[in-house]
Amino acid sequence: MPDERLAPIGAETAEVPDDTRPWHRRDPIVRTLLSDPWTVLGAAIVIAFLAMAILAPWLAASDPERGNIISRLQPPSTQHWLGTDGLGRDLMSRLLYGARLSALIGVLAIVVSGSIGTTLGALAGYFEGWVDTVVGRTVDTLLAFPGILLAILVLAVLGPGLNSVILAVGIFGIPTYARVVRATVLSVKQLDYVEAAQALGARHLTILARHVMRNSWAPIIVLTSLNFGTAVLTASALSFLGVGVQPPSPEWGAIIAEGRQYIRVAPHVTTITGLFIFVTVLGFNLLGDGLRDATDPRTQSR
Amino acid sequence: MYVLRRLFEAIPVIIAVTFIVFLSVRLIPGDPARTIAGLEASDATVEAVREDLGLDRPVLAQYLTFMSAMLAGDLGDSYYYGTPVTEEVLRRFPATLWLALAGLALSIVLGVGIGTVSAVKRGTWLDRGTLVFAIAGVSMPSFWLALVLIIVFAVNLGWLPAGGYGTWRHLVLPALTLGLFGAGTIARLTRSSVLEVLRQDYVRTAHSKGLPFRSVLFKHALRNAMVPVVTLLGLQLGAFLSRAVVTETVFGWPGIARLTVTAVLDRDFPLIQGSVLWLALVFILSNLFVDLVYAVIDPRIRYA
Repeated sequence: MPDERLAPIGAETAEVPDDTRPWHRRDPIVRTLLSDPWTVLGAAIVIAFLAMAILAPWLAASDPERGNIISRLQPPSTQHWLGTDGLGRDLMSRLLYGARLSALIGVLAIVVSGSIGTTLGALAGYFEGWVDTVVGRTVDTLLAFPGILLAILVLAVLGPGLNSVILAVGIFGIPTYARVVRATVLSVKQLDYVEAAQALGARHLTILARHVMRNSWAPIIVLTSLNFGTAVLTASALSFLGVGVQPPSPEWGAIIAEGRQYIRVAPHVTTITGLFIFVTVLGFNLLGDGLRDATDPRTQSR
Repeated sequence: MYVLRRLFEAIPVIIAVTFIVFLSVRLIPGDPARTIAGLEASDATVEAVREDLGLDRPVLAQYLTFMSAMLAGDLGDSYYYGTPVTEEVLRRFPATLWLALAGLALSIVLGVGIGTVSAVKRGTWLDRGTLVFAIAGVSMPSFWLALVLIIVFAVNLGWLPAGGYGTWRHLVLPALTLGLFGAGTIARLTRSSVLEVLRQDYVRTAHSKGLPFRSVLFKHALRNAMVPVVTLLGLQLGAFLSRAVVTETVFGWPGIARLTVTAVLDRDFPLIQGSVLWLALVFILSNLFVDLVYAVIDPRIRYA
């Protein structure tokens, strides 16, 4: 039986009205998200992309790596919805399996960059001092390699292939996580309850894990959506350049690299595949932007 | 003072970058001594080549030799071309510079223009279109945009060449590929920045003095609105160079970004090392330059 003296004043009389609204109308963040058509579009694209990736073996009409050379470079038809490529392989099937590769690369690369970047950023933001200096310099050095060049250098060391691409794209994403998490932790750390926990004598790592990080999830989720899009884009660019996932693998960038020689006779191979990359990345970016607007207190009131 | 401090801060980063590149290239599987000596060579010959290249010495000693040679402008010879890497890199660099400047100019003109109009016409269809254009710009794979431009303007219309280098006609499509990407992000930031500045007191003062809207916008608002845009340009340089790598490859542009990719494909280690180092150095220096421009536009930065 709880002590009644500890109950908040008025608690025994105040009547909480039964909220009969469905859950998605009650939560302010979810409500904001659903009220923005662009965010909904982004979420729909992301769901469709993930469905393609998961259901590829059931949706694909034929083997993505086997084709009939007689029916090569066919434009879209009822038999081959998106046409065939230079080796007579069904483009739709290849794109479905390609979604699987992109999703795999995206998820694992995010695991790499998210775990390393978040840890570095959290430690730098919480402890400041020399830890912050060391992390800051490391991030500066990673950022000194312009864009995709760092990923290319990693691939030069590891050689081409799926695993190398995952690692290269993962390392490429570390600085953004480290920076965003550091900034978030710096501001959350200032809050009263963190000071209270410190005054109670809690250990630093406990405070960081239990109190600071649990209240820093919003920017991390936003960043993950945006970084997923970047990961898909970077991986396809690396494969297009020939240093990433190699043909005959149906990676989207590799499909475009292969289809490039036929742009005069069969432009559908490159244009349709590129459209898939474009729409997928757009989906993650729209969703990420929507999540940012919904969780950022500065834009919430608008 | 500010300039000196920023220069000084860049030095450890440059040293760290050279060390990472140096180490990475040595981590690449394969034995350069055996590659150079040839498959038929005896172990003794390979050993002699190794000693000749200095590869038998401790890594740190090798690094110091590498650094002192680099400071003298010597980055070794390319395995593939047989020419000095420095020569190759400097020969290819102007093409990249031209492409980057043309793309940058295009994205600034388009981005600032569209962004300003969209801020002034806030809430109209044009304004909403700008936001969509911005997010589409960053989501679009540049190799795809490049191929679509080639299909439309080179293959179907036949107005412009599909690739190559030399005249301004060769520059149009690659610059457009780069420019459209940058324009979206710049437009978006210009829009919010101009909206922010137009709310300031001194803009209201300028209005109430009876100045025409045009001169308020151009003389008072735009200059201050450009401060965050210049910062963005600095942050975007990396993404810009990423797109340049892909753009050069699609259009067969003989720049340094394409040189780097072919060096990786050819496993030409000295060339990988030299071109990556050069690009990183150019990038660090351009960031420094952006910071300095920033300090000129906004004098408050210098004293922060």
